[in-house]
Amino acid sequence: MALVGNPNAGKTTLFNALTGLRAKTANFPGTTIERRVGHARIGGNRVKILDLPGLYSLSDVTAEERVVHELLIGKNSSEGRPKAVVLLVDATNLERNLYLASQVLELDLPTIVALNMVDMAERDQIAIDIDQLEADLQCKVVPVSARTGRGIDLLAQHLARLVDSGVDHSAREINEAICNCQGCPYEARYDWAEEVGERCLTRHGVSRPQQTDRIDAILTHPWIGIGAFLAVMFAVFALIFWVAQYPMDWIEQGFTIVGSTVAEWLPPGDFRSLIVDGVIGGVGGVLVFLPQICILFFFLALLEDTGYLARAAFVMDRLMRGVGLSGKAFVPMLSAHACAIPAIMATRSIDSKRDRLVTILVLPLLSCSARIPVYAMITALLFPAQPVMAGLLFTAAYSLGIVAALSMAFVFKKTILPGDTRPLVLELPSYRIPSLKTALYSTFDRARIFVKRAGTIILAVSIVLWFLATYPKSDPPAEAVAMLGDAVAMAEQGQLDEARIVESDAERIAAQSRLSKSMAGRLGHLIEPVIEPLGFDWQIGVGIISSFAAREVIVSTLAVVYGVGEAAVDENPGSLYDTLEAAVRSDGTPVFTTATSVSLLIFYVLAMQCLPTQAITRRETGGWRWPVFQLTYMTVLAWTASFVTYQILISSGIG
Amino acid sequence: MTTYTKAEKGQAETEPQDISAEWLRLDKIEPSHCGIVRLVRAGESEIDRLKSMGLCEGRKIMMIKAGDPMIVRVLGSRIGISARLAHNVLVLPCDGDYFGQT
Repeated sequence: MALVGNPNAGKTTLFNALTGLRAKTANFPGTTIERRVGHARIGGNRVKILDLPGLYSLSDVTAEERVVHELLIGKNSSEGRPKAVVLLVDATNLERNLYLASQVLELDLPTIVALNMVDMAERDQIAIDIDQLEADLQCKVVPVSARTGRGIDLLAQHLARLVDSGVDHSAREINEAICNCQGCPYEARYDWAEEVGERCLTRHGVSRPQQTDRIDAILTHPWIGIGAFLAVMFAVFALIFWVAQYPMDWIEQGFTIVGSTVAEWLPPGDFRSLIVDGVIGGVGGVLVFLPQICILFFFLALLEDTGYLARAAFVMDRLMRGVGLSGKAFVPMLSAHACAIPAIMATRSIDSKRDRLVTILVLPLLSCSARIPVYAMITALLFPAQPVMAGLLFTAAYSLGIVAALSMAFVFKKTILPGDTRPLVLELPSYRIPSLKTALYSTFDRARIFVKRAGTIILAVSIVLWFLATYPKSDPPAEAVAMLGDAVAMAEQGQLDEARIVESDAERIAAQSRLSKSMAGRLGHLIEPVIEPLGFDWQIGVGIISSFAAREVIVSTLAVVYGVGEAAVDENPGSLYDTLEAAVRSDGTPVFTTATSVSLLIFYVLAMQCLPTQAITRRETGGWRWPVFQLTYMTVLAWTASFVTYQILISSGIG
Repeated sequence: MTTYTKAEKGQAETEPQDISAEWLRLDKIEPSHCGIVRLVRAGESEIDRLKSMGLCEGRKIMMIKAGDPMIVRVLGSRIGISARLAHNVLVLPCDGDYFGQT
């Protein structure tokens, strides 16, 4: 059974009311267009319900229209035609909705019309003659309110009858009335829709309430509107960073506890290291962002449901068009400051394929929260105990990301993806109280997709990186072996505290040596000539490589390669910064000079170092071509910018 | 009412270049004024998007908020539309307000 209707007609709410949480989001085969599949028990039968994308018509102009049309006529589909169609019609917007209705009814599928938002229509003093509408549409019409649940039972009863019998009313003759007209097919259908509307609707009020228009006068004002939008988004982001920190702490602690518990269970060895460091550590490092993602999607869903997001796209359109992006790209761009993965998923609202692709390509340039630990580390190296300068450096890093994203969007629009930004045509639905339930469902859905990624691709990446950092194994250096021997001797003499210190030093030196001789270490040595002009040594190279699991991993990797020990960093981050500051190259000069630190910061702002993001780009663009391009252009951009900065700083004497 | 629109439509169909002097481009309509869409110029790939949202020949519109982009009421819903597209929509201004005649 398929659910068809206009955007903003309340389709998702009705779908949730019918199916509850047992729904799954999946793509149409071979496309990135989403549909939701759920099951409902209707009249003793388990019925599969498809929630199709919202449409204005079946004219095959957009990809959505095409896939829905093909599904309804049973073309290109192994599933065959749907057994029944629930056609959702917004009672407050009857004539416009009847356009799609006329097209769907012509397909002669067993159909029930769910006349949604009857409560809103009543509030607006619109009376609808249901009998007349049934006569005009030649089809059962059930007034419902998906939001309050009114009429849902009745709808289910009628559906049960329809599914059992497989037939509804007699073959319809509306098509005749429409197809006989020559000329603009839209005009004929809308003439019909308006005629039906005239017969069925009685508006008691002088006009529809002008509340929405009054609010819009403020919220879509060219300047006040932008200010209001920035204020709303700032509030959402403040909430994300503020509220999310508690669950993020819990998740982190949870993974630490799980890791140490498992470590006690398993015998020491490679397998334990794989499970604890590779699997639990790697997946935990990414899942820690789940609270931010959930809160972001929850608020976006709420804002969308109120009708506000359409206004946001409306006011931002003019500004964004200047750089060749759609107004709808703004929300994903803001979301990318939490994490690029949900941001790329959120670009689905952009209807032009080219605009969407440009947005996806530039989103990872915006500073996501995984970069914060890296920025914090570099800030501590450059400006220890100078909060004002540290704040300025953070701001500069974020601004660099934003400027780079907008500039690259502009460049792409001028070069590889030429063409005008699709001009705005956007419905601005009436404001309404958002449904908490719908927002929660949608959050749950997104969270499930994210967790699934963490359980598959991110898990695989973590395991690969663990292998790179672990193999081939090497013997601990003589120094470490000697120190361990000393430690044992000390312990025998009763100097337990000293023995523990020497032992942990020995382990640290051994870990450093192991990593240096591992594949990751060798790769670090291998890329050293390439990154040397940026002021980086092979240790930073290892950090950059390990960052591909998640950027913040560089902090713990540097801790290992410069020999601080991971445990020390967790207990006292200052110890890492002290060690990094003291780190020297083979010629005895310090590694983290001002030039190297700034260069590293710029590299981390601009470089594409996140395989999970690449995996999402692949999924959303349907192939490896664009993720590979994204990786290439961002790496080249980051390298060039770091190179130029480093060389300028060096030649101007800032070492 | 029905016969009237059909006659008008026939005219627009057979002589699409016959643009009446009374018609205005949609982006020239003043706020809270209304009009009837007479011609949506083909050629732009966006035409179908406009039309499927109700901005098509014969429909009555009201300008809610002028500017770029602007907000137009059509078939009871509000549509945000950029001036570039609105420029291709020709409208016969009408008297009275949007709801007065329904």
